[in-house]
Amino acid sequence: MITFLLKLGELTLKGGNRSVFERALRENLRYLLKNEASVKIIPGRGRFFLRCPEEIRPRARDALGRLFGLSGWAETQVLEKTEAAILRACVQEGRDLAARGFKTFKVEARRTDKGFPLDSYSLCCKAGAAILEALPALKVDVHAPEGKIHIEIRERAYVYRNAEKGLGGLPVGTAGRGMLLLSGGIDSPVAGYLMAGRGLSIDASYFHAYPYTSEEARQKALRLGKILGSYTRGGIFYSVPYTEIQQRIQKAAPQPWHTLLLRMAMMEGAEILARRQGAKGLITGESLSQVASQTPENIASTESRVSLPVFRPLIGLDKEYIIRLAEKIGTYETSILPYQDCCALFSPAHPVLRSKPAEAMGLYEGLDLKSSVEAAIAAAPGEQI
Amino acid sequence: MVGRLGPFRVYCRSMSLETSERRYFDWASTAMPGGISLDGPFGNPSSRHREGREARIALERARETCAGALGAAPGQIYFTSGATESNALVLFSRLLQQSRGTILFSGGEHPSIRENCRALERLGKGVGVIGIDKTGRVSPETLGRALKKYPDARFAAIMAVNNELGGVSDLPVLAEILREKGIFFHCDIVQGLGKIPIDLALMDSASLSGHKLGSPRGIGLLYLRKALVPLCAGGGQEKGIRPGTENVAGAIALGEYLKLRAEPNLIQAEYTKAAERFGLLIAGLKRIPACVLIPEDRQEEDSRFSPYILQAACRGIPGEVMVRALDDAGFAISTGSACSSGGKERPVLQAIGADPQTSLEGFRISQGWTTAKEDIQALLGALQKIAVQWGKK
Repeated sequence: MITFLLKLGELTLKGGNRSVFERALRENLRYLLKNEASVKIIPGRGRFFLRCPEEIRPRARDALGRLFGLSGWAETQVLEKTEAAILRACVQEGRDLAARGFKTFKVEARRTDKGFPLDSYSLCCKAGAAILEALPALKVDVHAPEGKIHIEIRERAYVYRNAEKGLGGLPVGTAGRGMLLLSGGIDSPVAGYLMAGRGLSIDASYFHAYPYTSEEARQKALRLGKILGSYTRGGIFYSVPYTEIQQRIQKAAPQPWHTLLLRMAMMEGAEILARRQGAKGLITGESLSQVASQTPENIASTESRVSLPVFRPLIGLDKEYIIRLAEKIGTYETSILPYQDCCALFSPAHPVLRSKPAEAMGLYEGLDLKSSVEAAIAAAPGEQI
Repeated sequence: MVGRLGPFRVYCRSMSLETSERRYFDWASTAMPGGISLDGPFGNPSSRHREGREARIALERARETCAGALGAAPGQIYFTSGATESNALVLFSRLLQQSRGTILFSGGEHPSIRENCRALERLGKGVGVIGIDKTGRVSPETLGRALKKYPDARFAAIMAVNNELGGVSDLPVLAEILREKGIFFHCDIVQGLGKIPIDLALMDSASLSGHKLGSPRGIGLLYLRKALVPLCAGGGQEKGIRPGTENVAGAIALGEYLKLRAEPNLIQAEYTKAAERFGLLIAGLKRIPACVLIPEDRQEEDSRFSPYILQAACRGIPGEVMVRALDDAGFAISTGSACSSGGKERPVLQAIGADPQTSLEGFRISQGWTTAKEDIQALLGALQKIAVQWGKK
């Protein structure tokens, strides 16, 4: 059996309802490990522990790398609280570092058991000395070491090296459900990911206009949904048929308004779906000024039909930064596949840039789309992601 | 409602678009199977034992069959995996040519000519384009202009039938011009084979693919009036021109299909029937207000075109969208060359000067020997319905 030490993140700041967050974290981890029976999750103060058979290691590592709520984690040795055992363990970690080509190291120690005879500083010195004696090729660097060896003295002693950085955030589900407006682009999956990191579990709605948009484009969005689902305890992906709505907008509204009116219809539809699913807010990948529909005025118009809060985690982020995030979470490669989720036919050459919400509202209401939107939502099949 | 499969199928059914009956109108990308199975001696024709000898005899018999059907000598027939390979083989052999002359190709050529010529250009060969008119054909005028621009031209690739528009170049006239100048004439006869009369004596080399005639894919041939020195070497098969263990079963099948399809009387009879069907199609398309033919002046009876290929557009509907909508309605068509379907560009339409709108909306209907008038009527009915449902209002 191996043990992972999990460092809890922001949830440690919670007060009376901390147990709610901790329980969610445990359940989410169990979900990520597909309810594997041989796994044991042991809660503790500030630290959780995951014990599992060695063959589960790759799955455990993958799950921990997808778990919101952790500030860090590492596979750890679990020892009796004796100086000898601890130093032996440290030397073993040092040997491992040396074998991997690390040249410099540092030891960090913390103890919650103040009854332990050695204080943190002394522990570090002794451990450092022991490692240097056993492995003279290694050097200590307290400023920028290549490798770090950690000692934690709690009810047991733990020694581990090079903790992984956790995803941070809060456990998925602790803030309720959110409805993500997912397109096949780079931005919306990242928006979903960031909101999941604030505790929302995510359902996704994808608005298509088949045959103007292709099945390949929908499959691409579904794939993005699935990648997102691997961080968010799954969810449901709704394919909403908006072809008729697209056509009515194209037929009856002035061309510069087409994209904006469609977005208003999508927000209206997403809100109906969100309320049906018990979601507390909508999530979009809008980033201010990125495209014509995302000027401040147009964003105001877009959301003028909805009353649920609209979460836009990318609103202040640069495209480059968003792309880096997309690469990190694994959606970028899929997002850049060349399947358009909007037909060139419906993209106005000169879109309106500074719409007035009142005017937008007037045009939208003139189209009388409400029953079509409701029908489209009712007809939208859902798939598990 | 959480469904596992096919939310799209559910949607399409609800729009009354889906049908289980299929009508195939994409013969230009591949023919419906002709039913002759792929079979032959398994031995390696280069082996000395009995199994090898049997295979060798079968292969050479197939070669004779192909040569006979095409009006060539067996020694001028080389089996390849298809026209793409045959085209590449001829083009890349130019790299070994000492001559520094320009390599010409028409603006309507298949990507296996066009892109390989671009590759030759990157490798330092001079390359030039022969203009095409709005039917996709090279005319004596456009050829003349190219020859004037590139007086050192030594090689020209001009296809017999344009695969997107159906335009049929006047090969005897063009061949004469090229012969006078001593220019090597390579002709991609893929879309002409079995559909219009082709005279290999006009050309120095020609490429064809079996699957356009209904044979399984993976077999085609290269006609060479005179042997050339190929770029790629190997085990010396096909006189070293196309090394690689021969596809005996494929060659036998190809021979059978050529014998069947390249028979001049049959070509003529099928041509007449095909022309009649497409006459109906063209007349029907002209009656659909949103539909335009490409080029617009194509007539019901029009000797400039092969009656097997037609390009059209429906205003307000991108070609890709038309493909999907017709697919759901049970019809297989395509936009452009299947080989270029991955991209959004329509180089052939651009080459004939079509505006971006038309290039976006263009789609191709191509028929074959088993297409019936009833299929044409059904297609027109579906197009009418789609034009009303999806087209520009």
